[in-house]
Amino acid sequence: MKKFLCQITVILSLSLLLGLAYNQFSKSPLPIFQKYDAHRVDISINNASSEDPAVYLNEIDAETVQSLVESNMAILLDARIPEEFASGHIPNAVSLPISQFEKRYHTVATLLAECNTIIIYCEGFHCTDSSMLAMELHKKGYQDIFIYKGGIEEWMELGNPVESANEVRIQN
Amino acid sequence: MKFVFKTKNQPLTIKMIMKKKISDVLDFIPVQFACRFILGGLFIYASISKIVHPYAFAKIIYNYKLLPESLIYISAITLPWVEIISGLFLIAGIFKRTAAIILSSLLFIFIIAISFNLIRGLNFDCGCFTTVITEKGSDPVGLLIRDILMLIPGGIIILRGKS
Repeated sequence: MKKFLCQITVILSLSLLLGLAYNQFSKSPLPIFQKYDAHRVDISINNASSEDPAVYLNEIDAETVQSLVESNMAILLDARIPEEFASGHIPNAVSLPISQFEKRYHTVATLLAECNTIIIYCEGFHCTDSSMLAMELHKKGYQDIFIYKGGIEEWMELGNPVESANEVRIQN
Repeated sequence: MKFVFKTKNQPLTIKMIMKKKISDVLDFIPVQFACRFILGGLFIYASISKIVHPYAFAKIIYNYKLLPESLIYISAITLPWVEIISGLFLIAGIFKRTAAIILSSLLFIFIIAISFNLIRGLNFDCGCFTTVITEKGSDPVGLLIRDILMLIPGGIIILRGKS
């Protein structure tokens, strides 16, 4: 039994040490002592040569979202599934569910080409869809991507209008 | 109280013969080696993608919604190394039984985590062999069956392996 505990300790501490060492010397070390951030985007997956492969994409608040979208300076993408989009989304948002990215990308590609700035949101502070969508778009070559971390939850809490539709709006 | 006396001349029952045969097969060195190779190899293979893409793995752990947010990064960093080191030790024959116990415990944890999310009806990515997020998540029942099957070689090494 004693031998077994010793062996377990050896294996576990060896793993911990190697893991920490590997993390320390890797291109994009994880911040071990921080809480998990659902919106962190790891671009190293697609772009190993980038100098700063793991970046926090620019955050944006509800007010800026509103003003940018109203003035047609940015396109607003909803990364959630179509059903969630249909039941309520930020006005003028376009649905691009991360789960159907490849299938639906071409439907919004023309829109994205017209706008320089892309704002992405999902449910709220704890969803990961928006950062995954950001990563996919980054792969396609888009640079100016913002994440609205508060998502639809914060948007509704602030009392902002919500649009709901049964069909997905795609302007061509 | 019931006493059973066994003598050398006691006739062998079919049950006893079967028992003897099964334990002979399990103790057979190539069988032991195959079990070590299958279990260890699978975990080594599974750990590589997680080591290369730690953040993607952290995201998968997060999506299981079982760990507090402060423990996610440290688990994403350590867990793949536990898998690869135990896998290598198991194949190399260092601390065989301990490595098999660790890997089987991991399988057991995975089984609990998957069943938990199956009951909750969460759509999640297993992140077992790849950190690539798939379109529809993983098929949880298939995963459960596979993980339970994987307990077999682990069990053989733990019960019949010579440490």
